[in-house]
Amino acid sequence: MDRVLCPGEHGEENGSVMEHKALPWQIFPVLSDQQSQGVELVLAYAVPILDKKKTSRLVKEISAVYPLEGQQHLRRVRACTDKASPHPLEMLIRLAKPGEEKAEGLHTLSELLADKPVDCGGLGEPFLVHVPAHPPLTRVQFEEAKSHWPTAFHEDKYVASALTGHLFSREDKVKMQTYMKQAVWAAQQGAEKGMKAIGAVVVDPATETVLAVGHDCRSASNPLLHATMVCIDLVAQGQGRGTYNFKSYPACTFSPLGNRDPSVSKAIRAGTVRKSESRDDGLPYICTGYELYVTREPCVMCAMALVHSRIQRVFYGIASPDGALGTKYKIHTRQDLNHRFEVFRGILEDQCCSLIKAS
Amino acid sequence: MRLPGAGKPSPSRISSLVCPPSGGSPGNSSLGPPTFRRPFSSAWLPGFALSTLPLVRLASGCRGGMEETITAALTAPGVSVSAEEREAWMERAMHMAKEALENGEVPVGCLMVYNNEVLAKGRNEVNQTKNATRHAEMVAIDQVLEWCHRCGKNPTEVFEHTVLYVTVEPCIMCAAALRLMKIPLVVYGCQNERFGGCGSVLDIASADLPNTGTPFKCIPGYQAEEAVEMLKTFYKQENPNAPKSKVRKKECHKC
Repeated sequence: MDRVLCPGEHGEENGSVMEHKALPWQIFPVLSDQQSQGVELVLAYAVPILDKKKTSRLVKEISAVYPLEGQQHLRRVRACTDKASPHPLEMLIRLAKPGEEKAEGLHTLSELLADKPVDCGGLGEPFLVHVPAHPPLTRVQFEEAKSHWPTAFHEDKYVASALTGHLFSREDKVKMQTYMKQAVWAAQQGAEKGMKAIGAVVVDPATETVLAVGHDCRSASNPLLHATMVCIDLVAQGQGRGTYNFKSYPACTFSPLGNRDPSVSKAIRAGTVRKSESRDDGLPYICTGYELYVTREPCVMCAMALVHSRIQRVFYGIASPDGALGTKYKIHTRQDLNHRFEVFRGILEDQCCSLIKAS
Repeated sequence: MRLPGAGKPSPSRISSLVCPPSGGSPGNSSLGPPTFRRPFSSAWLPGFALSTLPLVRLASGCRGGMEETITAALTAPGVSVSAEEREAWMERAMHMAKEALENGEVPVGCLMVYNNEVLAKGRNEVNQTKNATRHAEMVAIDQVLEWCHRCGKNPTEVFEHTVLYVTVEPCIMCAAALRLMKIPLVVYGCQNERFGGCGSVLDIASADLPNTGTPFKCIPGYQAEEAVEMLKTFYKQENPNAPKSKVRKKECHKC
């Protein structure tokens, strides 16, 4: 296994080498299921528009009767996909109800619009069509969705650039690599003490300060001291509190924040989340606005600890079998929890991977 | 059969770890006056003579300074605890939660009980430690670990026979921690709609996670309504240490 030097030891040397070398790792956003899954389809009634001139009147009348609430992403009218078709346009009426999916149960036009204030002149007989159930969130989903029925697409620019790998500049990635190297170094220090080779680093991106460096400290006397939990407590120690004593693990360190002039960090990036959520003493609430670099995907306990700590971003090297930030769960994307954060995978993947093999 | 008064531990002195509910004798009433909701009955377990009850002084060696007598009687094998015991311990936990509420803390109380002995009484220490993971359960786990250390016990063996009594469903983080510690049984009060890890948000308690300890059983619903009421009261007061809600901030801008 390659011995990774602590960036503190040979920081400049590493930095200058990295500037000219292609980074041998790629960064992948870990998106929510809604963002990463395929397009779910539902059945809907559509009708051919035989008389093109009546389209706008028909759209108005039918939309008033069936507003398609909850399906605002669906266009009402599509140009007919079959060039040989005798009609140029097709129009959605409403979603099919359960039991209506069978051809024999198909309603006629007059049944669908019975007692409704719609002049059906110019419409053909209804047929069933698959339409996307939800608005597409990514370009991949949009491409698939519109092959079934035209949909609106409001691209999330942020997610889009994350997916195309353009979210981070080369400079950003060099920084990420530096932080992750420190996590790898911590993991190695831990391993030398007989611990699991997992390391973590907490960074304040506003000031580019490393606030805590820790490694896995789990043992029979405390099986819950996973690297992430260690770092969360080290951040608390930096704020003058904390719970555990890591004196016997010299690689577990924190930088004290207590004496720092709060105006310094505020001035650097005014308007950050951290500023608005900082407390009377100028310190943020626990880990608000901070980033965690960890060599392996956190478990359920650590992932939820990060929710409670209000972390802003997590970068990890490789996935874990029971991981909760992508593998088994995506705790960071859940709408029913009170905090969400961004997660990226793949930073220094090879080195993080060799840590596992070595331990 | 339900013994009248059985399963009511003396709730008097919260600082003292009083005897378990299923054992004891009328003599135990000397542990303190019965001041909590249900009166302490000295008429429980009438069939037992005082001499037949093994009175074990675990306390002296393991709890520096704190004077209390632990009566280990009718010890159930493993963690099978009777309904009476469960109810009694839950009442203790509720009392702790109530006390926390009166002191402006998150009203969650929890006890870790091993061989009819309270090894830990956790309460939320998030604000005090600036560490958002210091939930009552996590604090209690550390207390049990410390107890094991002091008494030279093997933590694995102890946790595998420990029951957690907690007034609110453990959150996702704590549920995972309880799995990692291999605690077999959790008795709790009300659901935790915001963070619950035993079914409310996720079911970590019984999930298939082969690398995250072992699943545990849950017995929910003990005095659930009262536990919910306490939480509601607390959240009405608002936690001054939590970051301001974004919604509320917007409202402030408008006014």
